[in-house]
Amino acid sequence: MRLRFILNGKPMEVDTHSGRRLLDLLREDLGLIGVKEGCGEGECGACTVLVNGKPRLSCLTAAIQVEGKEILTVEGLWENGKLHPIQKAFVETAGVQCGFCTPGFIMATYALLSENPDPSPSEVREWLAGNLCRCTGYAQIIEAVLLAAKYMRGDALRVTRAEKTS
Amino acid sequence: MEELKVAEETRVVGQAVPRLDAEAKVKGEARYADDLAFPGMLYGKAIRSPVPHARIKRLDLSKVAAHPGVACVVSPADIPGENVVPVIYRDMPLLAAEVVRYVGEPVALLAAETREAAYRAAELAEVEYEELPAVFDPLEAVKSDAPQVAVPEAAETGNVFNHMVIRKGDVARGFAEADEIVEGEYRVGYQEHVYIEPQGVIAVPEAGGMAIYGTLQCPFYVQNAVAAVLGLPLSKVRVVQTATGGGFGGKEDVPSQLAAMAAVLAWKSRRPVKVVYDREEDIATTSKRHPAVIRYRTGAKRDGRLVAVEVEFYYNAGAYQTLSSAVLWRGLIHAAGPYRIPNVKVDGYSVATNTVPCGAFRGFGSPQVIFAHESQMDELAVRLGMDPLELRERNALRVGDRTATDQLLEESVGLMDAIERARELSGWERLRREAEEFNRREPFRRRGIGVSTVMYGVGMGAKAPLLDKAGAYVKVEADGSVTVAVGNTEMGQGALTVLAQIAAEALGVRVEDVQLAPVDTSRVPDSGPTVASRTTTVAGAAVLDAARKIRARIEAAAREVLGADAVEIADSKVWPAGGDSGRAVPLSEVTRWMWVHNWDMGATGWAQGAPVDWDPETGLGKAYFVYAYACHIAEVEVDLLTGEAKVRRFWAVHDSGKIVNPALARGQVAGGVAQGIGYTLMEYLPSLEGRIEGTLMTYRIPTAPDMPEELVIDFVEAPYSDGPYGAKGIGEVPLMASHAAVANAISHAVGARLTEYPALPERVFALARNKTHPR
Amino acid sequence: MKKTGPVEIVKPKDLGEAIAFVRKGGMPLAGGTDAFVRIRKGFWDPPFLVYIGELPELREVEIREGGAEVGAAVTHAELLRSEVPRRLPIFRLVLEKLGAPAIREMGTIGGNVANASPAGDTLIPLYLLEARVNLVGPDGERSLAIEEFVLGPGKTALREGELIVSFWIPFPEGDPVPYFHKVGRRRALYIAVLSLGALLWLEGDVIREMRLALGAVAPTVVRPREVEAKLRGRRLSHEDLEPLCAELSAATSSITDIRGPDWYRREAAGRLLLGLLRLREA
Repeated sequence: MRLRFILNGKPMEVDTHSGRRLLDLLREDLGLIGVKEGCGEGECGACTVLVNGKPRLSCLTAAIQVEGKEILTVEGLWENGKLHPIQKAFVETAGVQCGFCTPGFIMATYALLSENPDPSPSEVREWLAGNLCRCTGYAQIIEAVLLAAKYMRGDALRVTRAEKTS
Repeated sequence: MEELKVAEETRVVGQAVPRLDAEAKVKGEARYADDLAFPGMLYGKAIRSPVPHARIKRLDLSKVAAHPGVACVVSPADIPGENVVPVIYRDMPLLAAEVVRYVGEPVALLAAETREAAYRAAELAEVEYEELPAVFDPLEAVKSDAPQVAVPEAAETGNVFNHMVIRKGDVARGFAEADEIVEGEYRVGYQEHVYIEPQGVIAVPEAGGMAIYGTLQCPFYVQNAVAAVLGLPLSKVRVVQTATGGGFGGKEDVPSQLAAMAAVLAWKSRRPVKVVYDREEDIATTSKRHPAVIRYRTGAKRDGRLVAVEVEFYYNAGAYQTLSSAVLWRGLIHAAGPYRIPNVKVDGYSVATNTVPCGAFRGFGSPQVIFAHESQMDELAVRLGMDPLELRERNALRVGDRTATDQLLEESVGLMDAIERARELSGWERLRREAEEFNRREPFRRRGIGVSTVMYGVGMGAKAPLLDKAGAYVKVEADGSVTVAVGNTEMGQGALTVLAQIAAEALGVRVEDVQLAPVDTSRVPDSGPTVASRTTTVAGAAVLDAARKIRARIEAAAREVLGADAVEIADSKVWPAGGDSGRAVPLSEVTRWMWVHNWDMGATGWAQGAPVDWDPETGLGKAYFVYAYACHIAEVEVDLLTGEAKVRRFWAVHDSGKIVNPALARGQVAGGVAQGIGYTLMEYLPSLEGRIEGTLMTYRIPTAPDMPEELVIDFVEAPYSDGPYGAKGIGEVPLMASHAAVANAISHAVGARLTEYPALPERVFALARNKTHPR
Repeated sequence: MKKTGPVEIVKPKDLGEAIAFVRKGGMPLAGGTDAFVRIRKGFWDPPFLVYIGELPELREVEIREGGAEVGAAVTHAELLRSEVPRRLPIFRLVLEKLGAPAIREMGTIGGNVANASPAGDTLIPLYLLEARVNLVGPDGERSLAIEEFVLGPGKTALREGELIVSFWIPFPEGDPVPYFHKVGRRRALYIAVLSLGALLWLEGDVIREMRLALGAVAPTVVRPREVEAKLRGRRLSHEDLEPLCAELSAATSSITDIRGPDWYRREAAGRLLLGLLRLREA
């Protein structure tokens, strides 16, 4: 089929099979290797991308399901070498170890902070339940998300967060 | 909390510098095995045995070969070299030629133009099996009438691959002196690594030989295996590590098998061949932590002093030796725990069964016996009416004590400090009291507090001292930046960054000026495996050795450039000794001068572990050159209605000597705690007649909400004089300590002893309803 | 989606075309969270799939007099964000425990019900609220009670060519207190080993009216109506509930599978009744 969609802000048109996995389409046909396959059945979250701003597992998504939609991958977050605040936060808190799950976590974090710019630690924990990490024990990932939230809000909202935790 | 007192003399070592590889990883640019492609690349796949034990009557690959897209098939006769995956022994064939010994054993290979064609073609192989009696349980397999699984040359007797012992003192006399004796049998099942990146390699024919790219821990193992199956000299095989998405021991020996498969296919097809497992194939056919049956007897005096321990344990090794003899040995040495015990008798057996070969997994044979010895300590505490932490303090090893193998501990024993710090951080007495109050108040919930103390022998130890070595090559560039090549790998643990910090410290440069080259076996001598928590200590010492040689030359050059008798170097700046560092010149001026004057700007470094010496007859001797220690405390809540358990809070204190990078060390601890929580509570991989069918949907590892809401990590540093800047190892220790603290907390909560992992809800439910001893 | 290659998927332009495709043997595809996993494993091998996930007729959530109408292709996340959990808080308790955010954005209520898994989370509130399933097929429309629709594991009353269009979820009288406990081997992202959902109409601590639904303890979700009847008039106390635990266990017909043994499901199901006492803490 002829498939049209927006990929990382750019209109895209490709010939593909209706049932091609979005994961394969992105990785193998379009070279976006930041999308990772960890299990192929929606259990690890390493293949998480955003479709119309919502998190989706690209291993359980067929090409036909993204027709006309906007897709964002980890490659779409940084520009000219400048890291997105979420990426910066993951570097700074050592929220990255082997790094294979990292793009999925970053995309899940992006979705969380779009919906909830000021999450509590337990909201972060619950939100990230769909992304498996075997290296970090999640502690420094959760710190990264909270730091990223702070970066993205600026300091203006610090008061509300203090209220929330008390 | 994790802030460390950084010794005056270090500027880079001891700092939480960001990982050197983090930026590429957060951008999605790091290239893992499946992210690489080569022109003309094929996809390789194994055809595997569906039965656990059988004679192969007929192997017909004609339909496979005829399938569209199939470029190449390989049967055992097509292997140009030896049909073997060499690990410690040489009993495991690459392809079973006559007999298959486990479900999933490869019998043939194919390579196709696409992944899809490879999957389809693999189903077309015609293999006729004559089934043989099979055995799956190690206690059955040691019986005289059990089917013979082990290749006889690789086994001591029958299916016993190895039997190892410790005989220290006289346990009969020890038990006779004991006021209290506890006994128990403990069982654990498999633990699967679940590195998030599955296994994968690519073999690329190159210059009359073969290059291998892959996700792996031990490039020199892979080099050796590929040379063996291709019948090539080692110099014709080059192994390059790709970014590696987790290892935990699972990428120690298994990549040799994948690489040998890919190499044989590439050799025959003369094209690059990629072999990447999907998760199902990975779980079903790769190594895991050994299931075990462990029997203990521990005796103590009324005041808590341990007088005797007697241990017998059986590890289910699977069908081939792979790493089991080494795993068994580590279990043996660690069986008595970090305690002073005059009389010790240990018998460890690794047993062949018709199951997938087990191998290395973080802790390497020690977590199983730690579950047992730490359970015994808590049983003893109950029997003696003594606080479990106090019982450990009474017996904890200190400098000047002798271990279970009669090794004198001359330095660097931080166990007591770790226990004291854990006691203080957790508020142990209050914690136990609050749990008891909670339990009196709550009808259907129980809280328990558990502790675990461990020791860990750093490095390969006396069973394989020949592997405890590492090389390094360090060169300073004309612009003052530094390139470091090592043979030990980054798999997520942070080795790359830690080694760069050591190089930067020794050279006096900024860490961001140091670049670690991708690991490539052609760059440095065989540096042994990246295992056994030894990279910081041994590879770090090799880097230090090389860097010090360069440093001496830089200083000599700087004396010329500055016209000074002595110089100081730091932060990539140089100034006359005792002079004003504000008037320093950039290091690049000195390195430029060296370059102009044709100085040798590179140096090799070499290190080996300090001498060890151990007697297999008695099991006594200096087993390891140094030990790391830890004390973990867990608070668990159990729902009595359902048996569900949750870890609420956790405290982990480690002595790993000097901590080179506190942020990375903290990450190692938190990750190990998570794997330990998984091991105790949920990670369950049943095997039915040797068949393992697992996916991440059925094999559950901890998610973020499974982690304790409060996780406190701290370090006490008992420096090791032979380690770089006093560092010992850390990688494996957190997992080893964490699981038993959780197990002890569950037993404390429900008032009955947990004797089997994992503590699934149904097991805890049953345990809580049929209490076995008074609280 | 199969390991041996992609599966053909068609995207109908309206409901009529969808029914025609399904009649030709196509298997409906909504979110794909279950279908693609089963196809990959080879459990299902449909000739082609009919992607109904974006049909407008299946995508609406409408609050009406006396109840809510929820389209079959409404995702769990959309349902969570809708007005429904505010009116029917049991949905919030259940949906927040279903999978994880990405799974909830993909999976649909219709897909969850059509799978007819005894562990299907959304079935718990649908059984408790006595929802109806609205179907359309070659012979027109019909509506079935949820308990008539689900027949057994993977079995439903769907006829050839029929599709689920929506669910009618009546608002219960008054303001029942919701309860949900989903038992699993970890804290998140799991399929229920067993689950208990309940709606309680309380007067003080006396149970005036009560509905219970047990998941994953029988071929379908179970409403133990005899236990419900016996609970009426009892107090929300240990003494009053304890005697009925065994009866609740008896209402199950559990099996042993990869997620848990039968004896445990049976016994824990009974004990879970005491979990209702935790409502007093709230």
